Amino acid sequence: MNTKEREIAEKLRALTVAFGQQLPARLKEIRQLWLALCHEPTKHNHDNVHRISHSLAGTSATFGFTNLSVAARELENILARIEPPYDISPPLSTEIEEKLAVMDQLLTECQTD
Amino acid sequence: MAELTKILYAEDEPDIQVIVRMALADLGGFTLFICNNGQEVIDNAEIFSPDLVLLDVMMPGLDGPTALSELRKKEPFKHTPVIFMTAKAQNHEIKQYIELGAADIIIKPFDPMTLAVTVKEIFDRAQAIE
Repeated sequence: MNTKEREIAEKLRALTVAFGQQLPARLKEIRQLWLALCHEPTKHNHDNVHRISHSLAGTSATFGFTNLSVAARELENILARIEPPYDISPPLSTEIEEKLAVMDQLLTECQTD
Repeated sequence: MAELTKILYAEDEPDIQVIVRMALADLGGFTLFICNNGQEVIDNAEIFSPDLVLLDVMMPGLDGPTALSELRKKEPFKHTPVIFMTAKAQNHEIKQYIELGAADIIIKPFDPMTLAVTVKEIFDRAQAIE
């Protein structure tokens, strides 16, 4: 590895740490957007929670948080199954709550490591 | 054979933009123009005049595949190599992207340390086919 590569690798490590520190806020945002969808089942609210789940799935994979990425991708896929008029009654809502709980658990594990 | 110097890149996620900038500009030495969505690609393509376009598939507004279709309508970009980046790629989707005119697909997560080499290889291969 040359000097430039080492420098980039170091920057990437710093970015990964910073990303990890943002994870609690990101998960909190997903839960808030999910609650907003439960409270008001509209396309706008559905798009918001779907988009941020997709975003977390992609970024967490890029930063090496593989398990969290898989869980976020599964959440994204469950959310993608919700169609107008955005009926979020069980079992779909239960699946989503369970997935959010898994993501919270994974976050706790990340913070413990 | 044309040389790869300028890359137009579209991605809506700021964290991934930062990593790709490091990988392609800082490490790879390419000149990078970053867009936040497909519409910005269409709006800036003629100004930036890229040798290659790198597109995230899922973006708000104009997504990657639609941006490619729109780009191909512009004469200077009828043959510009376009690469898609995606985390969700089933075989039928990859086939669909290639049929749309993509030179190749890079699957996320990618390795930032080798991304520039991968992109250059795809560019060279696309040039050889041309």
